[in-house]
Formats: sequence, C-alpha cells, structure tokens
Amino acid sequence: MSDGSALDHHSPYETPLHRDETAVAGMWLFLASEALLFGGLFLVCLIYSHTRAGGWAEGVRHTNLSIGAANTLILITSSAVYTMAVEAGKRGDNRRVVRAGLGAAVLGLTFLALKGVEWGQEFRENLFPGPHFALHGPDTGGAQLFYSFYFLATFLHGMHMVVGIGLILWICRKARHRAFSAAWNTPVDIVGLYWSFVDLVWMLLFPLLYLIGRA
Amino acid sequence: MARIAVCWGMLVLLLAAELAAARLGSGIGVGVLAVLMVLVIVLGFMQILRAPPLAIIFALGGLFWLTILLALGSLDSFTRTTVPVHAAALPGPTAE
Repeated sequence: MSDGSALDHHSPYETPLHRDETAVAGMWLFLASEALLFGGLFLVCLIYSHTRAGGWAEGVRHTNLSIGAANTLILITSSAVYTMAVEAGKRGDNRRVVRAGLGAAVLGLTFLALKGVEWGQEFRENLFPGPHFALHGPDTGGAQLFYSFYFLATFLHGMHMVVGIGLILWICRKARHRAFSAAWNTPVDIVGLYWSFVDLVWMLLFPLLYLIGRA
Repeated sequence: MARIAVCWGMLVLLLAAELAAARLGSGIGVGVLAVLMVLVIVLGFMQILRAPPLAIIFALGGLFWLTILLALGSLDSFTRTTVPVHAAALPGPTAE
C-alpha cells in the first residue's frame, strides 16, 4: 500500500492510502459474497450428511484420500509461496514477485492436474451420479447425493483456481514490466487475498469430501 | 518471511493432525482442526487484523450471514423427529 499524500483533485479518493484501502475493502466484500456462495454448498452437505448419513459416508469412503491430502499440501504451499510475492511487492521487489508468483501458479496447476487424474479415475469407476452409478444397495441414493455434491463443489472450486491462476499470471506480467513499487503494490495484495480464500475454501472442502465419515 | 514459514508449518501440522483424527473416526476433531486451519490462513496469510476497518466489517458481516444461512437452513433437518413407518401399517391398494 502507499503513503497518505494527496491525490489530484480529479480523483475520487482523498489520498493514495484511501484509494488502496478502498480496493482492499472491496476485495473483502467480494470474498464475503463468495463465502455465501460456498455457504449454500456447505448447507447442502450439512443437511444430507445428516439425513442420508449411511450413503454419504459410503461416498466419502470411495474418494481418493492420497490425492486429496497431496492436493491439500500443494494448496497450503502455493498460498504460502504467493504470500512471499505479497511481501516482495511491499518492498517493490518485482523480480521476487515474478518468481514467487510463478511458483504459486505452477503449484496451482499441479493441483488441477491431480484433480483431473482423480476425476478421470472416478468417471472410469462409474461414480458420476446417474443410471450406471457403481454403488448399489440401500444407501445408493445417499451416495449419489454425495457424488453430486462432490462433483459440483470440486468443479466450482476448480473454476476459482483457474481464475486465481490467471490473476497470478497477470500480476507476474505486470511485475516483469516493473509495475510495482514500495509505494504502489495493491494488485499483488488483492490477488493474494483471493488466492488465500481459494485455499481456505479447500481447507473446508477437504474434510467434508475425504475425511468426515471415512473411519 | 518467518511469519509465512511459521504459518505454513502450522498448516502442515494441522493437516497431519486432521488425517490422524479422521483415522480415529473423530468427526468433531476433524471439524475443529479444519476451523483452526482457516484461522491460520485468515490471520497469517490474509492478515485480517492489519486490514482497513471497513474490510474487517465486511469480513465479520460475511461470517454473520454465513452463520445465519447455515443455522436457519439446517434447523429443520436437525430438529425434525423421524418416526419409522412399517410396511404392514401402510394402507394397501383398495379394490374398485
């Protein structure tokens, strides 16, 4: 962020600090709306994991825990690496912004690639809800509900990952042209908030999709 | 840099604890650890406490509405009494 010196009189902001704080607050407002979007999904999970507990747990037991845990570790690391880019941005160190940003993006792409492998495996095993669903028995309805939630939630999260990776690459491009300085680095900061939010959502999805009801 | 490394270390440890809790079948334990991971991200990576006051208000507002959504939305399912119905008690098809 920048200092408190005044902007020109055409600007809607009183100072550069006011401008930057408004941008950060705007991102938090957007993230609050995103929390409500994912909140609807979590509500579905809360209700059906209670009312259709048997089938839901059967679905959880069929997810690939190794890939899920590896992806969680990858996302934690990616978020940490991008936070290094945010710190570098505050110092106006564009080279480190590029390096950390690319590292975070590569880890994000690795997450998506592993998710693709996992989805492929699940499609081959007929775990996509429908007439050829692989799990039979009295709890098949609950298991189909679980996999509907699983595919919707992971698709929605994956889309957020794609947007996040695009934003990080945009930041890297700007940093390559030395666009950021100690006085102005708000975009690096704001993309960091978004990327950490995507990480945060996965920290909640991971236990719901892979852990609770597994034992 | 040290802050980021500490947060990363804490998240990895919490992930390991989460996997152990899942193996022991403790759903509540897994839930608590997941919330702790979220707190580490919000406080350590997103640094909400250093954000402008308006951003903190928006974050708390989001949390408030999320709580309302989850609490009111799940109220019916968690409070409804389910009475088992035996097949023999159901009325059969009536002869015309």
